[in-house]
Amino acid sequence: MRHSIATSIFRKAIAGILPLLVLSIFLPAGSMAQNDGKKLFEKHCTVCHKLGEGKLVGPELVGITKVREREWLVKFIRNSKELIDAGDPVAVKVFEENNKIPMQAFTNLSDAEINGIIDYIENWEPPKAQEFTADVNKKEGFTETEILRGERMFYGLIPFENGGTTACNSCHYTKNSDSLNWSPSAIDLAHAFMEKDGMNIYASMSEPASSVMEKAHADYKLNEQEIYYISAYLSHLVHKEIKPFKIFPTRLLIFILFAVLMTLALIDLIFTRKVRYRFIHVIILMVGIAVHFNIAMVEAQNLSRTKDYAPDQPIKFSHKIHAGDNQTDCQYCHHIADHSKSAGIPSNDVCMNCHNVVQEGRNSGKFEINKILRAQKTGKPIEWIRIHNMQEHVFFSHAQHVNAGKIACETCHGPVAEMDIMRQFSDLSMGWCINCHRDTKVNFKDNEYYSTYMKLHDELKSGKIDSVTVEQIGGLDCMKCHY
Amino acid sequence: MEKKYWKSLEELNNQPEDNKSADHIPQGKNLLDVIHDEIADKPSSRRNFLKFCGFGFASAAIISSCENPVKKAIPYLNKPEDVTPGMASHYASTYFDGSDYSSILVKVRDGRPIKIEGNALSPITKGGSSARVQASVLSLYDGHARLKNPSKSGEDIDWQTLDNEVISKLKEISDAGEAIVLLTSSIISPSTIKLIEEFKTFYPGTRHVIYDPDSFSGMLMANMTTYGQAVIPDYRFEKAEVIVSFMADFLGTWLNPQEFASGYAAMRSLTNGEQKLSYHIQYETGVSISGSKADKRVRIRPSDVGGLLTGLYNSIATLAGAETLPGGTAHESFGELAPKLWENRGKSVVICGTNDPDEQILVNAINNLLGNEGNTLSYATPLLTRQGFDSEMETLVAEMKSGKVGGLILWNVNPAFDYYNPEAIKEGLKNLKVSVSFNTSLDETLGHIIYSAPAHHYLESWGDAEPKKGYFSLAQPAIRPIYNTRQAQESLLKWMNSDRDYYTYLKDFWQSNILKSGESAWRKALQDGVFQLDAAATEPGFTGSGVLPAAQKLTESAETQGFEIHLYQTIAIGTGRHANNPWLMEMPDPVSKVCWDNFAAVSPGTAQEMGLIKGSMIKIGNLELPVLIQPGQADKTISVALGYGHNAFGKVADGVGVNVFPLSTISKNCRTYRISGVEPEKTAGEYKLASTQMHHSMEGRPIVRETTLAGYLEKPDSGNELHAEFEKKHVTLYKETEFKGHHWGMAIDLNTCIGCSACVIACQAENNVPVVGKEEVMKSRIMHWIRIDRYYNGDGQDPEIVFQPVMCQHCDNAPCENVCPVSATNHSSEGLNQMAYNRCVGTKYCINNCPYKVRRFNWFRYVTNDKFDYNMNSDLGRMVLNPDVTVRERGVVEKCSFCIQRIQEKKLLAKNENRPLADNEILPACAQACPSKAIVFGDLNNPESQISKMFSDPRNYHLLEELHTLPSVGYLTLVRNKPGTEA
Repeated sequence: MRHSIATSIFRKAIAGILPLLVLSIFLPAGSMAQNDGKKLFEKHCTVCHKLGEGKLVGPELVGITKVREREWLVKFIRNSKELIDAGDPVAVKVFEENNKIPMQAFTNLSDAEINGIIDYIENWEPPKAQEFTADVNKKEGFTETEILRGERMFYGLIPFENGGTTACNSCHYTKNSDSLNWSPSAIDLAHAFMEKDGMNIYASMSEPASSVMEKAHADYKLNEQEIYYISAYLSHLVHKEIKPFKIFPTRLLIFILFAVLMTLALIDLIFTRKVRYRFIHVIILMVGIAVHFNIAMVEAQNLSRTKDYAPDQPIKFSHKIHAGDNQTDCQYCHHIADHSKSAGIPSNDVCMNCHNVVQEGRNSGKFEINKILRAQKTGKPIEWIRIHNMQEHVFFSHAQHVNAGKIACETCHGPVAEMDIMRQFSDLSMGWCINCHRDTKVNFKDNEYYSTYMKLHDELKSGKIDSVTVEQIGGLDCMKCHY
Repeated sequence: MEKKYWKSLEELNNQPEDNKSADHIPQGKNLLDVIHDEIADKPSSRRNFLKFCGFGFASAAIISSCENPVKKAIPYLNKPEDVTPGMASHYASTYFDGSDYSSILVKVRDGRPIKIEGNALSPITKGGSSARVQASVLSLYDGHARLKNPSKSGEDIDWQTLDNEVISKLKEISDAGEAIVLLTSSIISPSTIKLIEEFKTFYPGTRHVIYDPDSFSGMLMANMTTYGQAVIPDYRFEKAEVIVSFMADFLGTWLNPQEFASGYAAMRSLTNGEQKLSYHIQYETGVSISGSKADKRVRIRPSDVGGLLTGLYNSIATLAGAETLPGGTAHESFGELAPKLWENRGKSVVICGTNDPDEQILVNAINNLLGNEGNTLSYATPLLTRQGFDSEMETLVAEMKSGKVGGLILWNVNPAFDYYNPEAIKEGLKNLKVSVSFNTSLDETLGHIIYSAPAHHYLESWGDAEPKKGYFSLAQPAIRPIYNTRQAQESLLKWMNSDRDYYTYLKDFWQSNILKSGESAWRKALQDGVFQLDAAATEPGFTGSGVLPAAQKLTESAETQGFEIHLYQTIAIGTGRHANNPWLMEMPDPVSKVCWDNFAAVSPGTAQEMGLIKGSMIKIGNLELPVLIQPGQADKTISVALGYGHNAFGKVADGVGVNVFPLSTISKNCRTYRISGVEPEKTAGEYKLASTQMHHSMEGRPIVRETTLAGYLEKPDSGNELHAEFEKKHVTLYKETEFKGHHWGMAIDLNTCIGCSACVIACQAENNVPVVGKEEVMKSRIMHWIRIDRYYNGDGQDPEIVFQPVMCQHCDNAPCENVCPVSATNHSSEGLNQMAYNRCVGTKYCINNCPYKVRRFNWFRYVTNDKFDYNMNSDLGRMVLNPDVTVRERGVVEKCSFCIQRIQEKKLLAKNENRPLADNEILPACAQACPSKAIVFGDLNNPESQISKMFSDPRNYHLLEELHTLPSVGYLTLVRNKPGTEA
């Protein structure tokens, strides 16, 4: 059944595209470029130029055709360096005015394509502000009924006028957090829309910012009044907080249950004597003590150990996409791991190195990446949740392990490249450290530092030992880590 | 042959030391009352026991279901290029507090300065530092005393209002032709001096008066008379083979002690095969550290100085065939000293610490007779750190009183505390139209000032300095201003209606006047912190005409009878500028071992005469002071430290000790710190001083070893014969530990250690050592990891004094390790005696079993307990803590770790750079701070290292080596340059 639908869609698609393909062969290239001026501009130019937003990396381009000859513009766009080197006075002036940052050459673009871009710039008009009858700036002061109505709509209890039956909260969760869901939570949305200078909910609903959102919202045609109610509900959510999912305290209940049972058994054994067979008391007491000891021991051992800790982060950041799919080196972002104790959470400007250009994500569209851009704009850094917390009184150095010890990141942090949600892989317990120090062999012969360890070198030479472990150079000394 | 060393008179006379008597043991619920009164009061019964059991059971169950707190990790938005989280950066800067100069490196961790180190590039301080420099970082975080906002008559105002009001007032005064006075301490910043000149032209009628509470105007006046220049010469102790000091504590507090200490130590070291020592004789009243280090120390009364100087001049003149002067007292020591000086002419130096122009003229005459100018002291590169003339201050006070001064701007001065007549100052301040203070923190003068325009702390400021002519250094901020303060220079610029900031002003000034070069030279100078100009050195000629009148005047001033008082400065507190610094307050004075108080030091003879005992009090004028019986004090004299007795300076300084500045007077136009004709009386009062002298005693075993130069030259192990004897007996049943990699060791040269205690404060800053307060110090609970032991030897009236720094000896056969029930202290594979705080359960067995008494117990949680309000219990104060060292929890034992964090850091650096560790690369805080480089640290497994060489020196011995503890710390026998072959 499903198969047949898929194939039928495929057929329809082929039927639609084929004539286009055929047409495109016969159409002159020029007309195509003219149509695609916008697309070409967005593809090649927006990294450095944004129309109507003033100077970015490159200068503002609105009205450029009135100042410069079209011929010159084409030459400059194709290869500005050539013009500058040739000593064209205008080109040199432009170059110097823009901090001597050369513009990328676009030798692969045809004249027609470049002309298409210029046409697009020439004809560009600032987007007309969308007109809304509702008060788009209203961020608080909604009545209770409005909030209630908004809540019903959000939960899909009141259908939207123009169709669309799925509830908003099926993607934008409001209760327990769930990081596997790439859509922003309702509270995240609330913050984004309701904050001062935040996003405009009317604009984003009527014109989805990213393809991910466009796809997800394809069925939704909310009218202004409905958006107004939703925003009322969101304004109410701003002050709320999503509680992480809590595991039911089964072990604690078992603990208490046995405590009660044992007390009853004791009372019955000594005072009431209702149960005739003593062995029942004995069994209850023995099992109870065993269970109690077991729970106490396990819990004590795990006190402040946080293996598999994977909290929700303020941004749905995926190591899988960055380190896995895109093969970004760990130390591109965590670049201080090489010479500092800390590996360092990358600062926002490191994110911006790529996300200045990459502004739309595969999973979450623009919403999550926008948080970085927004942090840069507002000057408020992202408050990440720390996952790897060393025990108190331990001094751990990444530089020692990564640089001197040449230990791979994955040894301690696990398969990070496969983690959509970052979690703590090792338990970071002392036993874990010690075991590794016992087994790991030191790069003894290659590092000049160890040349002063004469006695160990002698033992190596005489064959008394065949390799040097961390333990042998003091890896188990208390003050290796505790000082 | 054993010479008896003793630490206190009680020990010498076999009396019970009250630290050890039964009543000293803390009584009652001293500890429990702080922990929990309730528990202590309740009788423990079976019922209570069960209650606690049940409570424990329940809490265990609850805790086990608890969650860990969520911790946030907030990165930079835009990471500054030169900041790496988790790594320290060092910025070269300059410390100058108005009297002491030091070129420094500021260690900054994640944007906050946490430690000051000496700048090794400086030709003046050569990488050393002092206790005050080390402690200065703590004052940055003094959230109580630092001024946080500009204010008018105590009410906070904004800078704009202050500027407008001050400018209009200054204009008004200037237009009316009245005087504006800028009252400052000595200013050595060349750019500031230029700025003040500009200020003077902007507001005509402005004049600049320099006021130094520790005045050197006597010396300035004398040098004006004899050399035609009112400057202080540049003393070069590294060239002086004979040093004669009259009352000048040049290793502790006199002029530029850091530089002098390194020069002095160069002439006292025997570790590089030297065959000679300088000869140092000290004439003084109270016991200073210079006097303690002297080969011969002569007790004199303060008024004797004049006569003795004339006498010494005459003795030398006789040898030189020059004319003698009238008057003069001959001293028995001159018979030997005068020929020695004459033999070493051009290689000797005579200095005098009094502020009397006539005496200084005689000192100049003696140095001239000996031809020392241009050799051991130079006028070509004069020292500029003291510039104040007391006569100018006198004129100012008189004018203020009579209403002739319209406006006063105070900068780094506190005359209401340290002027001899504070009432006159307060009265004068009332007559002003406008008074402004640039002072950074609370002081006694502030209450009498209209406007307070607080300047930055020096670690937040730009600046420059020229401590010696031709020697420049720069200061740069190491942290953004914590409070709403403004650099004083910037205030002056603002009041001149200038838009320039001081940084631009400074940079322009340097580029056009000093560097005469562009950006790269400026950057280099800023990075190095120091810059030197080669000035053409010409020594001025000596004019002898003033000598005879000076000598005559000294003869006229008749010898005084009765008691004499000498006001001195301690090495920690000085003139009281740093009295609000808890680290300095708790630093035991190297000689008296007293902290948290000043006192009247009297000789044992005088004490007996007056019936004074420990804990007595005496009255001088209307001041009542506790008595300290100080062996070595001159008879019928009293020494009292200045700088104590603040009353509006901050919560640490206020009410500690007595302010004795009002006892000083003016004589011959100079402040004098000697007072005669006072009759002290014993009062009925009693007072307990916090003295650490008998803490951690090693019970009279041969701990200090000493010999004479002749003895050493004859036999290098002279005085240290025991060492070889004990070494022979080193046998053990057990397998000896083998150190396969490094084996860390430390050596301390008792010859070059001057007892200055810079190491104590450096260690405190590096290792987060808490301050515990006077009460706790009295209970022997001071926490310092390194202490300076002071031993007397000889008779009780006039003993010799030895300093010995003692820290954990890191014994390879450590007695503490064997007794720990939980193995919290054990031995590392690199020879360190390790301490794992998280394992320690606080039995204190190790403390009892340590023969060196170097372990300390944390009786309280000092960082969170408000009863220990010494800058470590507030969020701001905690910023000074070193993040690389654990802050110890209540109930654990701690001790010196050989700065393990620094060992680890340098080892890692070497590994990452793929090279072996260099010798002396690892410097523990104490070794780095030492101005005389008496502490050496290194790898004993490296036969080429300096430490190995020092360990094989015949002078090397270990403390209590007969116990076979095999310490990793060695001491080099003290060698004094005195007659005989046995000390």
